[in-house]
Amino acid sequence: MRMAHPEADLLPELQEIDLYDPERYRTSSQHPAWARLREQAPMWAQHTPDGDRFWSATRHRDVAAILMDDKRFSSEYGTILAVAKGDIAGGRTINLMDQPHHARVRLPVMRTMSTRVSRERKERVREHVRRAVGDAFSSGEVVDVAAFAIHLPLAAIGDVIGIPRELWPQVPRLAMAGVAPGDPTYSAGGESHTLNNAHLELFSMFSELIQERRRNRRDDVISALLDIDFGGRPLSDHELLLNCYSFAMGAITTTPQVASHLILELCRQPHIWRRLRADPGLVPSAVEEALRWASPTNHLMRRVLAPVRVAGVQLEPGELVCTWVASANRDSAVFDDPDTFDPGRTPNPHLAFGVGAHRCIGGPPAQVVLAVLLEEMLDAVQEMSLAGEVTHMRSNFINGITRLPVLFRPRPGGGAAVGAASMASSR
Amino acid sequence: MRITPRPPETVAPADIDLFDPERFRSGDQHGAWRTLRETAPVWWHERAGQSGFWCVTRYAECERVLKDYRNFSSEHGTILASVGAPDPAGGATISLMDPPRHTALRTQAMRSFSHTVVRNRTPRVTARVAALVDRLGEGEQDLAELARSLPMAVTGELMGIEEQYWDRLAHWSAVGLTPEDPAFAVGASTAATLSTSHHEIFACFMEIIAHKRANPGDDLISALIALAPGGRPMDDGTLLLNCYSFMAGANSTTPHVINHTVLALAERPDLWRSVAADETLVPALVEEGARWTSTPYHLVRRAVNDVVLAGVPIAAGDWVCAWLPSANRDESVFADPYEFSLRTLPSPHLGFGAGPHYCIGAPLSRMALGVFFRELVRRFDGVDITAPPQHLYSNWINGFSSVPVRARRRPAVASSMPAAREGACAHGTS
Repeated sequence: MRMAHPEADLLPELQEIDLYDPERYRTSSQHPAWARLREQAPMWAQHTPDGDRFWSATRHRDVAAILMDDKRFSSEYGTILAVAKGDIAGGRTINLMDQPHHARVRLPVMRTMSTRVSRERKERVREHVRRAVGDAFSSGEVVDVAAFAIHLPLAAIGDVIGIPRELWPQVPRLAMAGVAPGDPTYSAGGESHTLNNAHLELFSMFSELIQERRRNRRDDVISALLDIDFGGRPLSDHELLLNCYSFAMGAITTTPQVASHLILELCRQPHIWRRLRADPGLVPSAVEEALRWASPTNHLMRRVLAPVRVAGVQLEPGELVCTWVASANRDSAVFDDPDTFDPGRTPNPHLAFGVGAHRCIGGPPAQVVLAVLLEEMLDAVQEMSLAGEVTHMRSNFINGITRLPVLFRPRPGGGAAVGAASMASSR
Repeated sequence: MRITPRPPETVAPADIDLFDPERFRSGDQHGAWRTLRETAPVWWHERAGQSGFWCVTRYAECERVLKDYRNFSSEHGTILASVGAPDPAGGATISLMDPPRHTALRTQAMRSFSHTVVRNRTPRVTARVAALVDRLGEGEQDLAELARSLPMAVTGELMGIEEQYWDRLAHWSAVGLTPEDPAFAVGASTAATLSTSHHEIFACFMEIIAHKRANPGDDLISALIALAPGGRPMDDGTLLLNCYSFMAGANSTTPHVINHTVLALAERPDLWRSVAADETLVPALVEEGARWTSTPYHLVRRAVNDVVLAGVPIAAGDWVCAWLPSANRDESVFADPYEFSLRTLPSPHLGFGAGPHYCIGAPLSRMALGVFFRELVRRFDGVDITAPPQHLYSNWINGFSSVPVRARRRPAVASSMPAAREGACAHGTS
């Protein structure tokens, strides 16, 4: 999605707005629509093309309140608009579970990617990032940032999940096809064929890995899942597969978008890049601002379990509510100049990782890999510029960039300042 | 069409006819629409000897058809009269274009009708509308005739149309929009009436366009002249068609929201008094008036791909008619939909359409309607209907050829109240 600044006088009228249509996310920006909704209709109903009604929450405080209230807003039915008819994996995988099931899976896995563990792994992640980036920053040739960004997530947690390194090159593309099968970048022989093929390949990979870990446990997510006490029984084979899939998807489909949107903004606004170069200590806050700015998952859907009132609207059990995280992150009630990218923004209470029981479990490794990427750029890159047309993803869920041609101009004598930059940002 | 404040009886599907204009003039189609919503929300309407069309009656599917422009195109015509006989202006005028071509034209026009423009115009519009409302105090009046002159008074200057043309354009567009109605007949046939009205309207616009070419101003027609969609300026024929679209959009709708809303208020003296006592209720009255009236009755689209709607397969090339008054009475969206009541804002009604063709004049129309109702309740206690209102012979415009009324002035003491209230407000906020 384009991140154009909404022109206050040309915001769409409520009934012009269509938050479902995936094409609008590819060809334009939904930020003007969200600005109108926050102002005039903070809870607004629309129907999917299949005729299912969903409410849209667009203000920060309502989005946060709904996501925090997991007793009245369930995840078991499905959490994305594409499955407004109900997700077949509902109740069987971590992101589609309510309590108490959810905690039984989340707590054992959380230990593998906690903030402490993630920070300790930082230098190993740096090696992986360098391999993923290759000579993109130093070649002096136009590179497609989207093509290397897609490999950052496994650099961050491929080891942690337990995916062998020889498989890292193929997995990301399959994962992207899984969330955006209708996008021309990933499409292969029709939307449902693309989706089936991606699922088949990922499931057979995880199936083999699960068999292997049954024999030899390791310190990774797959092993942790095998030993879960799921209310007096282990997870079934099917549940194991679904959970592996969820962790891989959660990581791979999101973090690259933050990296791409960050680099796109640095190309568009060179003064931000100059400010970062002058003060590498801004790396941590710049990463948070990139997360707020990109909001890689546009929405998170919930289903109402008990009558509840939000922003003056009475919701009844069974109704669907879409919380638009991307909108909450531009709410002027919470953020000063929300449409300005400010690498020094503090505090920055963005909801890019969600909030509440389902807050992104992979948040800490994502923060680490993004910080590493930025440090590597500060070390190696003098300046950067857009070198062609940017292509956005056809999805109402993932705010993705599928092509981002950039020319990086290498820094003379780049490489010497790695230590300084990384030390500055780890203060 | 008559609008009754109670759930209509359902009717036998064999008795449904949503094409015959007479049924709209003398009857009430809400029973037919309710039947279809309950039993066949996507229903094939046969017509003897002519192309049939799909009738879409529930809110969800109407919303889909209007928003999903990639499957449901506007380029072949958007009214039932075009079904089977595509509109010759298809693709040339703003209402008959699909995105992305439609987008450039619309964005430019939006600047002429934006909220800032509307805000800046409010004082001038208020004066003009107040003068119209004043005329209701002069004995028996035809509200329909009076309301017909409101859109030009509100939009004329924004469009760049000088006052000398307003009455002619208002009259001839009323004729052109419902040429079948005997009240407007000027020739031996509907076709003759239609061609006379088009001739008159285009003659006005040719003069106006020539004048604006020589003396461009800060108005819509000057903006359209300067605009070059796809790299080249519009020719005079295309300019004419677009001028006509904008003007017809204004003239065909807002007056009838006034007529229907005033009739609803006349039947509900308590509601009239509530609004008079608390003018902050005016915006809710405007929205309910737009929902209640729902004019135009229909918006037609043509399927350009095979598509499934509510489980019903629709073939590429089929005509699809979204019935707005039906969507606006959908029980799953509106509680007590057959009640005229001041509802919580924002109201999700489709009275101004939805999607890329959402009424571009909506902000202006809302403002003008608000001013009209506010000035009305400030001056009068109510209106008496002095003769039966004459409904239009049209399956498209839900309106009237005449609504004879006599307004009852507020007693002298009461008439000073608005001033007193304003004084109190001023003190309260100072």
